[in-house]
Amino acid sequence: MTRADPALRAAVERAAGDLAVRAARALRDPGGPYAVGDPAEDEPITLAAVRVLGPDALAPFLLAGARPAARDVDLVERGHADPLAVAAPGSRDALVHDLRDAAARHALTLLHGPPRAVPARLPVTGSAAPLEDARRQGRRPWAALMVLLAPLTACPAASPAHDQARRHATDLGRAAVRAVLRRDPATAARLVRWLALPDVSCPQLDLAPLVRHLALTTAPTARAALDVAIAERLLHAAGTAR
Amino acid sequence: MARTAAVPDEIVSALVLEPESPVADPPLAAPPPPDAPLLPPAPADA
Repeated sequence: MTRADPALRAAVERAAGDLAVRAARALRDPGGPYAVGDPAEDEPITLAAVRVLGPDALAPFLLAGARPAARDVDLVERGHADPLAVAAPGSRDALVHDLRDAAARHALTLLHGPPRAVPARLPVTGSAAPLEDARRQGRRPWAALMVLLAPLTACPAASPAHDQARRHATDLGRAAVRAVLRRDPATAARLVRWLALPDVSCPQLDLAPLVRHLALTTAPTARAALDVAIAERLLHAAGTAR
Repeated sequence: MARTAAVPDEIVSALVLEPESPVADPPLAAPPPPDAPLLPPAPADA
């Protein structure tokens, strides 16, 4: 089996999609059953799928009141046991992996650890400079990076990305609308997650109808459908009709 | 199903970084001038 085995990649992608479908269903139907792992799935594939979704795999526990079982905690812990050794230190991709892993571990602590152990901010082990670099490059590269970091919104901890989302909410709104106009609902679904956070405000954008539009539009992927479901839960949690 | 070995980091990383956002916003069509006719003129033999 080669390292870039297409069949293996397809198996992980399918398992991540299945997990996203289950998580979206649990978010839309609170109180229903939800488990991170699929007993029919090969465990290494499950662990990789959990890593692909990152904090989103825990969204039903964080946002819809589901209770994690010991096996859920175990899978997420083991799925995030080691850093992904693929991105150059200090690079944009390294920051994405660092922050997503930190959010998943933070969520686990929140759900499973002692309350006093939960910090208010995600620890950034590497450099957050790629966020500032993306801002300097312009709105589009920055929005592309915020798309990759959207899973942080499932976790109630602050981060440098949250700081930028608050400061540049209008750019997020503009990027989300542009994504809808160019018929790119996957990108729009990621971006509205940032805008659905209670402390991110873009008064020019009527967010609830936009999220509703995305929910009614056929989602291009299971992960995009999960993005919309999370945005809906965030809006619901904020009790807002923005 | 036979047990699969641990999935290489490259595969996981590639899937984490997808869907990559299209960074090239196509330009929106410029709006017509305010005095533009709604329909093109009818052909001469209409």
